[in-house]
Amino acid sequence: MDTAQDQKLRSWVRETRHGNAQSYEFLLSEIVGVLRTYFMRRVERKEWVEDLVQESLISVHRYLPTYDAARLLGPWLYAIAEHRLIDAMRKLRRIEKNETSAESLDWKAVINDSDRDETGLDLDEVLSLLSPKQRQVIALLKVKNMSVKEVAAATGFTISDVKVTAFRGYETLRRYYGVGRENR
Amino acid sequence: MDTRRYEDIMELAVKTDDLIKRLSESSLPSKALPSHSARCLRWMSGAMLCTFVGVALFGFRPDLHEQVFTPAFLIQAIFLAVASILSALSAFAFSVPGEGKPGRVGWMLSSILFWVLFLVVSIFTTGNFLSGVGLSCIRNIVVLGAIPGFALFMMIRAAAPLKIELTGVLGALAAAGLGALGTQFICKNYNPLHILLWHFVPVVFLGFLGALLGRLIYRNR
Repeated sequence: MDTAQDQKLRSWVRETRHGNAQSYEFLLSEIVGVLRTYFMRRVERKEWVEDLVQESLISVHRYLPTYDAARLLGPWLYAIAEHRLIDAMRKLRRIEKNETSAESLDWKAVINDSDRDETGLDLDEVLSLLSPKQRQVIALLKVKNMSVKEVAAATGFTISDVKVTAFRGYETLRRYYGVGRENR
Repeated sequence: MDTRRYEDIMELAVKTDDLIKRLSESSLPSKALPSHSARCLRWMSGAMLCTFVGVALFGFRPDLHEQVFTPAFLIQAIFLAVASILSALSAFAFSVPGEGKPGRVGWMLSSILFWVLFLVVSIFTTGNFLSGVGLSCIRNIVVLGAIPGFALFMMIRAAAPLKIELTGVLGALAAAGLGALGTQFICKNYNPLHILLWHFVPVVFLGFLGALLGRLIYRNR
């Protein structure tokens, strides 16, 4: 953010503090542009950029009373953006950690093919609980025993997308069958 | 391959425009908090008064008029005051995005380090290895620091502490440091080993506890 842009944003902050809602709208719109550029340069998964922009915008709205208009707006804004980015990275790490444990789910606990008592189900019944995308990914992973990389290549999804889709599918099955906590 | 198609991305961008409209139509964030240094000054004035009243209630040490101008007493009082002020200033600075200064935290830590070095050197130069038991000193530090500590945590919560554990540690050190400074005016035992074990260690422990408090109090801020 250059000095001229920073000065413009600061003047809109002052006008917002005098109750000017239109200045506030201009301020937020301009900040969105700054945030988009910031996150586009730092985030590998471009589909996350807009989510990060929106979360940061909400933080800007909440924390604006703390901003000292005598100082530059840039450091204040980038500190918020950095905080949101770190939060998002932490969340992604948590998801990836859960996916690893989800992969150790005892598949046999979910499908009982050999002993067809009243709780036994076959593969088609299990997979029918899932969305088409989850069904495709999990069938390739668990039935065809393909690796995540191979599934990504076969389906055209990214590796992260395959992992997230599989994780959500396992969670659905875990909730439905009440299994899996002990398998983590 | 991008898993989100162009249309999905455009839909999200439209949602951002919606969000802007909603935020600008909601209650405008028109109030500004005073600067972090002004808030810190406000806190320090109240906290010093509180500590003075607390010390008066506990009772000043009977040998205060003899000890107060000794180098050992003065040096420790200065270290404690500096550490407490710098901790408070840093905590308030870190409660505003982008204003925290790691350098100031370094000065605060140096102050604490000088205090412990001073004590260790004093122990060996005086050859005094008696510390006595100082549970009442821990009580005094906690009680004298409790109200200022509560006020500080609440004042910071009203701002935007992003580094919640660090801000918690700094806040706790500020309050505990003030408590230890007040305790110096109460505790009759000026043996350096006693001060190390029953004043310094509790302050450091309370500082670490501040990280937990920071997580609890600032988490959803």
